[in-house]
Amino acid sequence: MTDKKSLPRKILGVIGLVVFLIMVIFPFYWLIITSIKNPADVSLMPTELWPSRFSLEFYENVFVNHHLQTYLLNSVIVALGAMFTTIVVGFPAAYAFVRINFKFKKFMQNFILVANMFPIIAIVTPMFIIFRNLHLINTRLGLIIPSVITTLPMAIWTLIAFIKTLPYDLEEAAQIDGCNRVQSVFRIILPLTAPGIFTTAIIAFITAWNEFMFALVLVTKDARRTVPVAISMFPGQFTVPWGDMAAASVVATVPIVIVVLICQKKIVSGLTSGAVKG
Amino acid sequence: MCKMKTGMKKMSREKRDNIIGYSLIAPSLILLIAIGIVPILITVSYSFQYRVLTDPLNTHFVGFENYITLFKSETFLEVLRNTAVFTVLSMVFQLIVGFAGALLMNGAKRFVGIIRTAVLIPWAIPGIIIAYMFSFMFNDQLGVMNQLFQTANIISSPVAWLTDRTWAMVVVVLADTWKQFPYIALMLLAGLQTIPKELYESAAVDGAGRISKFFRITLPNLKGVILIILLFRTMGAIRIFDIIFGITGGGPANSTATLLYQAYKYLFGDMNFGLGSALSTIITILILACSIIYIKVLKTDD
Amino acid sequence: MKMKKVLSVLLSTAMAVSLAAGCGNSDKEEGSSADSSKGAGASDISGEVTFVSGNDQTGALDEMIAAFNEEYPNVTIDHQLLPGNSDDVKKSLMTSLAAGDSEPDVFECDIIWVSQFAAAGWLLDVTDNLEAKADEYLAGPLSTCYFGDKAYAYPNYTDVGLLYYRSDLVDTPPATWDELVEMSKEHIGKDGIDYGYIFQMFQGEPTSCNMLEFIKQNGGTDLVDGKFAMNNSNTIESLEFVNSLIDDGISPEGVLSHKPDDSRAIFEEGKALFMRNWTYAYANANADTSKVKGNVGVTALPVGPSGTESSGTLGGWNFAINANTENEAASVAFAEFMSSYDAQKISTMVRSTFPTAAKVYEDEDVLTDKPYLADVRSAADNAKPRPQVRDYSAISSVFQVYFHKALTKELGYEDAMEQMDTELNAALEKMK
Repeated sequence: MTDKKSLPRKILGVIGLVVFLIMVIFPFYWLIITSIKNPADVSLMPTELWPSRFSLEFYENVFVNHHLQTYLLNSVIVALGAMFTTIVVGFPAAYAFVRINFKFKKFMQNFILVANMFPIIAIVTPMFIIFRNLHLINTRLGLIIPSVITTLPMAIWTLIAFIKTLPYDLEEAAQIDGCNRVQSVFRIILPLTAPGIFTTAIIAFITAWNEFMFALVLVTKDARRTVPVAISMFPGQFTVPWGDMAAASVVATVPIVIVVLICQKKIVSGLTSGAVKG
Repeated sequence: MCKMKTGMKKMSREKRDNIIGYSLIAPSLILLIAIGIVPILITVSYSFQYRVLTDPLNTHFVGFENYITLFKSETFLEVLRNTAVFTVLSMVFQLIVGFAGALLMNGAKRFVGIIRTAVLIPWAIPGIIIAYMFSFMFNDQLGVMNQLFQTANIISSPVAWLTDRTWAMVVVVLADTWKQFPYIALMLLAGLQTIPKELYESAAVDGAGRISKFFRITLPNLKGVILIILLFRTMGAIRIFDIIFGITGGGPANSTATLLYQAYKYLFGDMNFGLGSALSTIITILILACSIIYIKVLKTDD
Repeated sequence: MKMKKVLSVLLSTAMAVSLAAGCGNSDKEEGSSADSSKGAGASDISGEVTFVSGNDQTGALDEMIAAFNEEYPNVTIDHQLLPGNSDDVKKSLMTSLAAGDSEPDVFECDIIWVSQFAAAGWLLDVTDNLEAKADEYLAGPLSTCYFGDKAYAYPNYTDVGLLYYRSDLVDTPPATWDELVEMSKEHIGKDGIDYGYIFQMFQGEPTSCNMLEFIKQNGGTDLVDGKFAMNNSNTIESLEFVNSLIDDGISPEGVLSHKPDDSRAIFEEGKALFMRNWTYAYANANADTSKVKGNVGVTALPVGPSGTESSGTLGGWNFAINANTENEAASVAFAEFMSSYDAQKISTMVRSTFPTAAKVYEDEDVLTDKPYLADVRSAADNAKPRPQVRDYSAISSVFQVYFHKALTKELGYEDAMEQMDTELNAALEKMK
């Protein structure tokens, strides 16, 4: 589609691109702008597209009055925990699915695919009752465990796609060399899959970071809430502090956006390989 | 360099593979069964009980009563219809925007990184934050959208987006589209890149224009991907929660309450675990049906 | 109410004895009976009490707790905040209470939860303690502590729907709907006024509260003698009135999606002449971020053509005690103190709440600092509770859906109200 384009067509393409980018970026732009407005200007009518004065008051608010740091810590621990569990548990499974022929393999693979689709609503209620008996309500572990169901199936499929791209000869060569299977996996496959594991880990981290329903239901104490749930609780009985919510949202998303910016190429290949080529 | 030898050699290869294979997938399998299958089965069992959290001593078996209550209620039909409308609308929106994104990424030679990041941003933001962003932007008085549209002379006075049944649904769909289209764009992009260039070249020789190329080559070649997206998004639409929770709370007049949102209301609003579980079970069955079709599609795709 | 007062006097003397003989472990009773002779037993009461409240950024609650600790130095209060709107807080509390947890011991409880929580057996019966002090409280808020003829909570602060008006533009606020419409029409388009009247009809509790107010202002009713019969001319006239406000441009179309804070923002921008809102809006509208600072008047809501008296929905919060508390004596002492005149005065002064203890309305410090309290006390006294049934939330969700269906004209008014009555009575039947 790239043969010599006429100039108008090129311009049209650029305009299309710009419009598209604006549409994509505008909500995020608005979030940031709202967060740095002066508190008196947030509900100006008509509103200012570019603020006439700036203030960091909302940022002060979210840390001083809303204790965002507590929620950030919870979110980081839960997301990291889910990420590590996912990789440690998921990698051997993905390896087995690619390299080993066992009974009902196809069925098991499909089961994991279906698990990706489980409606959380049908899981969360019994989970609440089970966790209550195990005293896991209001604990970080009690959020890490269920988060894995949102990250593990996807991770296994992404890893399968990565491992499939590695030539089997390498492993065979290592085994002829006298390595056993476990050693060959550790010495050959693991280093080669590192980029794949990294990508999968990022995707798992972000998915767990964004998880809402479990975090909403399985935590009843404010000090154990994760960031998305905590932000949804900013509105008080009557008040809706848009500015505080925007500032907290920016704090919660900017680190993620930076990670995405750095790893965008990998994430794109990871996201697509899992779904399409799987 | 490795000296150790395994003692498993004597076992038949088949048997050995079974043992190794299952011990490798066992942790995943056990986890998914413990935190997926078991709770779902418990939900199914709750759906046959009178189980109301505020009436804790009165829990008892009631057979299909919860299902009968559901099917008889007007709310069920209503939320079923809302779910269908939401699914179809969001699918159409997301395919259009997703295609635009995929074609742009495919054609772009410069700024690829920026475009890709821009496309990934929505995916990385928690759904509930997106929901609040959109409800703020579409607020009838404080919202920036009314102002933009008024400045552009598209509307003459502020529109109460979230008051109107149709507009409220559109806003919810837009928010979901904004969140989901990156995924779709990326899948379409992956599909686009598998189409051999020669197909376009030979079509160009035949004198085909852009649009006819799109319909004659691009679309047919992406049939498989699109089918998968449709299934994915159907399941996604059935499972939608945070967007509706944050924007409309199911209103106005229940017009944006979907199956799952209604289940949530029964479960954690009314604390009626029996009725809520019955609706959750229905949702699970719907998802399961979609999944089976999805697997069938994948198989034929291979 | 009067009967209760007489009874309470009689009972109060016998109370300590009957309590001690009646219930609980022996080490817990001293505390609950110690209330009448504070101070004496105060230092005997010890232990830790977990107290859960809504988000309070004014520091009022901590001041109240400090005052409590002066009197009860041996009780440690673990104060936990539970941010979020009423529904969020309720969900979190319910999940703990339904699980039979012993925490929280004491919590701020929305007045509409009391019946439901009490019926589930989650709240400690405080009838005897409260009846002894019943005459200290406003009657309306006090009634919300009861489920059946037993009390399960202590009054905290009250709330009521009020009419806010621009005192710089309006001299005498409207007393009737007609006056309100007339004045609105007069001012719209001038002085930056875009809307005459704003209120809240978001599908949720706002719809129930606001619409019930309109209906009762117009002589309508909700639950009478255990039955709902709302399909009548009073109700329909109210629905017509709300829609006419929107159709005539007196109220923005968006009111059907507005929550209290949406109205507040519009009012503070100086765009509305009249606003219906809860008491919290007063302090906000006079804050530095408000453009109408110093120009805000507040009074009772206007009366409809078929009505005889103003009506605002009764809101507010109580202090309730977990039935499973492991430290009943300290919890009771704490809840009782938090509900006392001393604590309520702090709450009124620092977080601008409307007290439930009558004496606070006469306190000189309070009147100097919050002169408006005197003006709206009658509105607070006459506030009308929402239906006091076992599960109010089930009733409210029916209200919300059918009021909305009528207001968005998806159903005809009469059809909507008839279906609503049927569903309300069916819901009521289930609670029996």
